[in-house]
Amino acid sequence: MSIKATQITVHVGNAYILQDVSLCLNTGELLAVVGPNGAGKSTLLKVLTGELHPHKGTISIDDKPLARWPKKALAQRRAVLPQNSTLSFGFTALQVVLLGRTPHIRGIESRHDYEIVHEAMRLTATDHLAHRVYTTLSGGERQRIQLARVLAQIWGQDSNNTRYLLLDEPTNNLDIHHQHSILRIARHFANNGTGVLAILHDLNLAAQYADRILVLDKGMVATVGTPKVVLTPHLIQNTFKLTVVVQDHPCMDCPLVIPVTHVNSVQEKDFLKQHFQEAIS
Amino acid sequence: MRATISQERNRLGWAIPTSLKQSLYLYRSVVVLVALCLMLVIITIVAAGTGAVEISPRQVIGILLDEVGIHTDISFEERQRVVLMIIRLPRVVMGVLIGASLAVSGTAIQGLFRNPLADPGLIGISSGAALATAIIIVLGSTTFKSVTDLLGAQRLPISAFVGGILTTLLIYRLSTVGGHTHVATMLLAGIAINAIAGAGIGMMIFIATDEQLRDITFWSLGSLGRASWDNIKLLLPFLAISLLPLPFSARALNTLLLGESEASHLGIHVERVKAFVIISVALSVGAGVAVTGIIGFIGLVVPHLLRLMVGPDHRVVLPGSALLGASLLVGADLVARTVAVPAEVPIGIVTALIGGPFFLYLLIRDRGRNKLL
Repeated sequence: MSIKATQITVHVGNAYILQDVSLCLNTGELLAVVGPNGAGKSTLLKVLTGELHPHKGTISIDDKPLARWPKKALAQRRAVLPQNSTLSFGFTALQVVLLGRTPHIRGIESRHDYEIVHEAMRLTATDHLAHRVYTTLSGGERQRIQLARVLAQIWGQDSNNTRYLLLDEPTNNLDIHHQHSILRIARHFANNGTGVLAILHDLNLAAQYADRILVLDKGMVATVGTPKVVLTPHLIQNTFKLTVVVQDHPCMDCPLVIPVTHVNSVQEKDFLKQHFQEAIS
Repeated sequence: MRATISQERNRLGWAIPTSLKQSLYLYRSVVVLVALCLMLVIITIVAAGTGAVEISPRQVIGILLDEVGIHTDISFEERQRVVLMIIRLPRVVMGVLIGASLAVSGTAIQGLFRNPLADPGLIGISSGAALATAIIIVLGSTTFKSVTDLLGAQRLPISAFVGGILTTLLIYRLSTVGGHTHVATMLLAGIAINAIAGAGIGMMIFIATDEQLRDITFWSLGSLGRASWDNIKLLLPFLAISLLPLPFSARALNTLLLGESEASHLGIHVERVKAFVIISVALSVGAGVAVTGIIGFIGLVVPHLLRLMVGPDHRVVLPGSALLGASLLVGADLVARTVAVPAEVPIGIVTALIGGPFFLYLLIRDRGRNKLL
């Protein structure tokens, strides 16, 4: 059981945003998608969710083409966390999370739905915000409420459905504690059989939590594999144009990426000096 | 330390079990809806009894019961019965229908556009209808004589209706590409259409005779003065078709507030909901303008008031808007026809006087918070 994308191509005029991208998200794994800004990560996610039709290529979920899935059945299995939320109406946090149960509700919310909502809010450490108005919450709190919403959407431990969670930069706006707690939750869901795809910027977060990492560069798959195989100084230099050393994590079984920042050219020194002076004056 | 933590939790509502708080919320929604029902009944009875011929609330109830065959010992004159049944009641019923339809349309449009400042006037439905009427008033006896002959006495309502629907279709076509409606484009197209319609109406005013000018004024400021059982019969099917199914899209509208793609990921057929809401609103607003002219601000203010009372859940806000919109319009009409007896002030002036300051209040309250747009 998996979400499969085969040779996805998206272009605007002559510019290729995605070119022959193939990937497979299996149930029970956490796949991290990393890549420099403008590499096509968000476009790839839009194609995977069906929001954007690719010019070439196919998407299938559990061996059935995406277009043949009824919307509701799909929503019961697959949840998508958006990068930023635009909700400007004064729902309470609880009501926002409850909206996640929409594909499961007939008529009015049941006690079961409320239980799931409370569980999801407890898991994301937002239960104390339940009756606060969403628009008055901080960016990080909103992000966690939205996560609780998508978790509530695919909660059902009681069903035999396959479940997928697609997260677009879930650690946005979050402090380091909550970055890790969100990925721990994602990891927990993956361990319990959900296929989780997360777009991430922090390579070390990807290294610590992902089963596999897919590196996207200029609309193409640069490489895909386990963190140990993928995260090499060579690859990071080539895709991110950043010099790093990669070591073994001192206490975990994963690589640790350490950027090397030293000012090594005259131009860079001059540039920094100028900036400092502007900041002072 | 422990004490402060528990105090903090108390303040945030932690100590109260969530389910209880949730039931308090439901309880409040029910209380608000029941209160709005009562308010509507009271305003309706008072409005029906007020005017040149005084009828007490008791007598109003007595006459109404008598009409449906229940005889009471409440005494009333035949004159009062005739005034109530022929003049007052149609007007009040019309006010209820139009007020409810304007408020519900406003709620639905604001939800669809995720913009609390949207209303049916904003996307040009009302001004398209008004332009069509202005053209028929001014040019109906010359250039468009054939249209006048064809439509006869109902030419103004019908042309308003057609104008409203045509404008909506135009805006919908302009903002829909490949089956996907761009909400921002639709708002901007609405602004452009409003400007064009405004120019057209201005042109008609410029070449109108004094008498035609009066008619145009009547139409652009709105009035319930044309209310009659016949007009209500004309209006009712349109409102029933367009407004009764709207509450069924309440949940879809709730998810749409999260954003279109979010709603779609929750299994909502977003394009279907959009088309359904826009057509419903065009039908009900077009039919409303056809009978009463343009009545502003009800569609803008009422959903706001409801959200202040019960939050943005459309399952409560939609029926609540219908009740409050009806009360407000009947109340505004009562003011419009009693404040300068024997003359009648156009109702648009009254609603604008209520709505305008309220709008400013919202802007001032949210200034700097960048919440409204």
